[in-house]
Amino acid sequence: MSRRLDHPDVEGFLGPFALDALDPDERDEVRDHLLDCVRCQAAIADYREAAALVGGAEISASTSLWDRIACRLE
Amino acid sequence: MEPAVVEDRTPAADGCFGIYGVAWSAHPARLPFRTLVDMDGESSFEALSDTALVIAISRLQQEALAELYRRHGGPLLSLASRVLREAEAAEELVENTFLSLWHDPEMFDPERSSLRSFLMAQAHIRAVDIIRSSPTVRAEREAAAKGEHLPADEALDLPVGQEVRAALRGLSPAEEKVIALAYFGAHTYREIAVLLDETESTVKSCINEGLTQISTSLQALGGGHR
Repeated sequence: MSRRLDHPDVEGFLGPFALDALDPDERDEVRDHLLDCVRCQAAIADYREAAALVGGAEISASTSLWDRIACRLE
Repeated sequence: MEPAVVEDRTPAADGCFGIYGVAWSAHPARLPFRTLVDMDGESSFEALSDTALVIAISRLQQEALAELYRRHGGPLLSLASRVLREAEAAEELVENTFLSLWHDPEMFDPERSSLRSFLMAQAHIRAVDIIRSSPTVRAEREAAAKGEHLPADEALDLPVGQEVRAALRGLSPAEEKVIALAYFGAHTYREIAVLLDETESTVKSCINEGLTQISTSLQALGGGHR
């Protein structure tokens, strides 16, 4: 898959890209395309907002985990 | 808060006017960002936007990171736990995600996404890399794939918001299934096609249509971006 993906080809990969569900070579090709395609960047951003909404239950963060993080700040 | 306000505070004069000697102008609107934060103490971080807090991080203000942890740490841990299914590994992943924000705050571009979605994406790719690098875990995943579901499932009893439930209600069962397998199960769309005995292009379309559906409901509800 060395061929540079055209826009219509890439569109089908955007959802799987946003969910990290592509094989590494496909992931790299979408990344290359994203460098200069504002439209696809926006689509990825929307998909990621959607995924973040679904993926993050609003539980509270534990203070013990924060203490661990704080210990490692320089 | 306007993120462009990053000039440093003036040096303390003599300590007579509070710990940073900011009496040259007591009006908050005229104070530089850092002084404003310092004057009110830790509590004022609560009032700052995510973007302003990321700017504060670039100035090494630990309380800013603490506030962002308070806002986003729980959801990040819930995602990491669902993908990794191991408490210690999930905590370590969240720890590393926040440390990476601490060390490279400029990685976040507020023009491109909300901080929540940026952090979730960072945590997700790390989690997926951990799973894909372990053949044992991958094999377990395939066995467990049948039980994958999205958090709208009442049986899970996760504290997801009303807007999440509303957004997920618009999904077809097939869309819900493939998104859960990809996002929580860490399967590629190709693996999902094999697992569900569907074509790869059907799985790809399902993921795209499902995410578009959630994104549309989200925008209709005015949620998402902080």
